[in-house]
This record gives sequence, structure tokens and C-alpha cells, in this order.
Amino acid sequence: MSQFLSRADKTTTSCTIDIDLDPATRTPRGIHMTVLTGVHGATEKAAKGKKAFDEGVEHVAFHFDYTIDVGDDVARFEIPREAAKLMK
Amino acid sequence: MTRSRMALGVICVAALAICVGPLFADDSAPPNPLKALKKATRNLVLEARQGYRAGCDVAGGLSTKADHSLTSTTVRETYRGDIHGDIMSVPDMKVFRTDEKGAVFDGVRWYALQALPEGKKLDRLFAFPAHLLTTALRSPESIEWLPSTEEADVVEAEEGLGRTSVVKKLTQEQLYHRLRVKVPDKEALQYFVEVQNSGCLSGG
Repeated sequence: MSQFLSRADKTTTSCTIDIDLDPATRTPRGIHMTVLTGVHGATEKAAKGKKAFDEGVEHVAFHFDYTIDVGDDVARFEIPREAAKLMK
Repeated sequence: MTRSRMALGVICVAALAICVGPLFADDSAPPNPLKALKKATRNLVLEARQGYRAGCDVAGGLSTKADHSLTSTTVRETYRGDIHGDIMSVPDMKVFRTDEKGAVFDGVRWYALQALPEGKKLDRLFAFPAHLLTTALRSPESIEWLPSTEEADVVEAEEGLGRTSVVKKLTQEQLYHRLRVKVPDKEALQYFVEVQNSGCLSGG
């Protein structure tokens, strides 16, 4: 995986966040974030910018798929003292 | 007399237009996406007072596809957490955290979340959902509505002599419920650096 890091072209990045709202409450029920980074070699062949993420052009992609459930209340947490100290 | 009648008529028509006009206004115009995002963010922050559950599936690797689906997957993580106020609990990993600091229990003692590789990875990959939205709101490059995925309400209506037609109707809320926010490249880079610093790319 480290070859991945050395090849990542951090001058070419893109991020979109898709938010799915509950139509009734207008509260988010899902979030999908896509983070893209160009790859050296592939990026130089393709023009920089959006073309770095076109069909056939190799790029790094990360997908974060969040689900949000507001249906049940969550009780207040009982945090052990040692843990609470570390959170201050 | 005729002039004053005409003037009265004009005034009546104008008054009628002002009163009745809004009833015929075009209600199919999409709502303002920025306002919708602000409201959604506020709603989620309010939900945190009662608490809510969140999950995050992370998949990363290389892609050669225009839809960015992975052609080679190198990172796959799944997290589940409960959020109450500004604190998240991740029961599976025995973690408590805020947006800035956290603690993880290794079975013997508590450590700072960043001190253990698994804690560090969680901290960088699993954001508080409300934090994602507030970041998206900060300086969006663009915000747009995406096509709805809602099922239409099917209404059967009889027309004329025994003819039945099917009317599919989506409410305004059902039509506009998916937002796409394009984040500036600078913040996109920041997200990639977070992934990089999680250690998930170097196996540590």
C-alpha cells in the first residue's frame, strides 16, 4: 500500500459530499463522501483537473458511507474517570 | 364617473391579483439548496441532544472508473457509534471521544485515542456526521440537488367513463431530498491527508 502513497499526486484532489435527507423531517439519514486524488504518471498523461478522474485514468478513491439513525434516543454515557481525564 | 369606475376596477383587479396570486405561484421550483443544508445541519445538531446512532463504511483503493468505483480495494473499515451531545461512544472498540480528543480501553487501561494505531485510524476515518456537514457549509464550491430516489405515491383516478389513469406524484420534499456539495480542493486535500495520517495506507 505504501506505493500508493508515493504515487499520490496531492496537487490534484477532489471531494464531494452527498447528503440524503429524510423527506419528512429534513434531517440527514445518510452521507456519502468521496475523496479523490490523482496518481503520478496517470495524472501527467491526462490533463490535470477533472480529467485526472476520468474513465480509464488511474486515481485514488476513498468512499465514506455514513448512515444516521435518529429513531432511538441514546442515553447519556457513563464515562469512566480515567477516560474522561484523557478527553479534557 | 366612467373614469372613477375604471379606476375602481383596476384597483379591484390589482387587489385580487395580490391576494390570489400566491395560490397559483409555481411551487415546483426547487428549494434553495444552501438553506436546505443549513437546516439539515441544524436538525442533526438538535438530534444530538437526544442522541442518535451513526455508522461509517470506509472503502479505499485505486479506481480507473468515471464513477470512481474501486478496481483495487486496499482499505475497508466499518465503524458504528452512538452520539450524545458532543460525545461519541464506539462500544465495539471501547472508545469515548469528542471531536478533538478521545480515550480507548485496551482491556487493561485507558489510553489517549491517538496513542493506539486502531484508535488513530478510527479518529481520522470516522468523523462526527454533524462535523462533516458544518465543514461542507463553511465554503462550498457548489451545492446542487440530485435526482430523487423516492418511490412515487401511486394514485388511481377515474377519468370519464370507466377510464382509469395512474397518476404518480412526488411531493416537493420527496423530489428534493438529495444534496451534493462540492468541497474546495484545499479541503479535499485536507481530507486526503487525514486518510494518509490515519495510517491505513501504510498498514500501521
